[in-house]
Amino acid sequence: MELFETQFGAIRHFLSREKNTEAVKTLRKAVRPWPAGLGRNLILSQDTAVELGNPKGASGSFLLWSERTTDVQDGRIRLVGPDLPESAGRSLPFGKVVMIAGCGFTADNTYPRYREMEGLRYAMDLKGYMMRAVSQYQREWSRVSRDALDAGFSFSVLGGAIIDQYRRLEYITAVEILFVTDSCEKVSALQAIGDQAGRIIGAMNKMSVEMSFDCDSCEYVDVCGDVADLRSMRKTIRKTAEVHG
Amino acid sequence: MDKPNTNDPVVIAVCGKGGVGKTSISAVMTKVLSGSGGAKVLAIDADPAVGLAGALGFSAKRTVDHIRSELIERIKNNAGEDRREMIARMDYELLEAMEERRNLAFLAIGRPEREGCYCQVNHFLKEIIASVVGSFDYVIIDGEAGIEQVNRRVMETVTHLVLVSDASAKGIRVVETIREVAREAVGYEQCGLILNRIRDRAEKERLNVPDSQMLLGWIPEDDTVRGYDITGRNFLEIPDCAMVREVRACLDRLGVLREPA
Repeated sequence: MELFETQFGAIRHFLSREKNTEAVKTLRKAVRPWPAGLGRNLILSQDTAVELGNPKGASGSFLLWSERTTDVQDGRIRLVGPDLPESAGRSLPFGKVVMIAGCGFTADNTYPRYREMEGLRYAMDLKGYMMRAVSQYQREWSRVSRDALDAGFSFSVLGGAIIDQYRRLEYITAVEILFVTDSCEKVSALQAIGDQAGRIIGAMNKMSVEMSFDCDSCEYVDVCGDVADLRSMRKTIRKTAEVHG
Repeated sequence: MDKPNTNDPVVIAVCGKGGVGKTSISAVMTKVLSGSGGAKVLAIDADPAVGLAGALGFSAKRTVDHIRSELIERIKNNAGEDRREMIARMDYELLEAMEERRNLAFLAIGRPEREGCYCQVNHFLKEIIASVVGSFDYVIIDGEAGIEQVNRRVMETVTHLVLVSDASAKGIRVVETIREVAREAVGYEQCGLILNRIRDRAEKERLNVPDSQMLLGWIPEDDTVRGYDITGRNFLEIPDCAMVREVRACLDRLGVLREPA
């Protein structure tokens, strides 16, 4: 199933524009595993070295998946903007896109798989890294402690931990991450792509949770009009609902 | 009394009859503990009047109850949130509602629970507050007057209960009732009594304090504190007056000071 062809294309376009200005850095995934936070993961502002995606600034975080392996290069971490070690004492706008290649996505399993993949981000437990997220707003707010920064925490470490986390799911074959910290404008541009992805997720959420098939009154009718696989998912869910009365 | 394990948060709830000075004592405790070797302190205002916010110079624009009410609205409007998303959203917004100043953080609970049960929401909220509390060295809760209304969302995490009474017989009766009820309802480790606004030692000796109460100390009426109260000044800036010294001594007797008084 291909739900996010347009958004993968938009990310490619975003990156090609940035490449022209040589702003895109490719980071090497950290090899050494980072220790866990073991519950005490609240970082107060006085202990914060870098803040990412503060609610007062720009923040965007979303997930895209595809069955086409050409869309995702496994293990690649790209960054547009400054890395953490060079940002001590700053609050940066924050964009994060997790791009996933997987296999065996069907109309029946796509929604539960989305839930599983989305849920993984809340399970992230890295010492000196505090993350708070809300999927409805597609926002992520995080802090990196001074101690963690001194110990070498960077986007290589964070990206590596995210990749390892997703790669544990058997249907995922490749994971690539894009971080954007450059400016509010660039994060907002990324967030506009995230908003489109969020509408597709919203439509999927509605048809799966509410079992509502009244297209005339549905606020997602335009999304289903654009995404063929969303329509086929809707057909399958409708058929199943009719069979079960 | 054993000194606390440095990894476990000390969660102190300050309770008593209305008007006995719980908020001033909570504010001074916050000052003493947040000045104690850079310890991380969370002050929770569980009184619907939100007096502790003003005493510590915080705004309390957004409260835990706002978060709860908004979430209930979303559930009523059938926003289709699942359990994990609901927890994540509350967690995010709780942190957004938390105000910070150096090693001190502040959270206002707001009005007591209103209509409807929404057990799931309240349960999540309790879980999230408990997880936040675990990240601090000290948590001070300025409780509501009386025990029946003591906020159920935060009281389960209390390790030390501090009862406050003035010289009135009613004040002392109330703290005795609170102690008895709390023994069942709150799994605290220590409980002690502070007598506040006592004229002099002779008055303190005349008071009929039940033997069951562990007296932590008595605080005389203090002009400095009265002045801060009247003018609404920030208690974190209060100089080292009699009340500050006595509250520090009470905390030491309670066994929660990591540095000697």
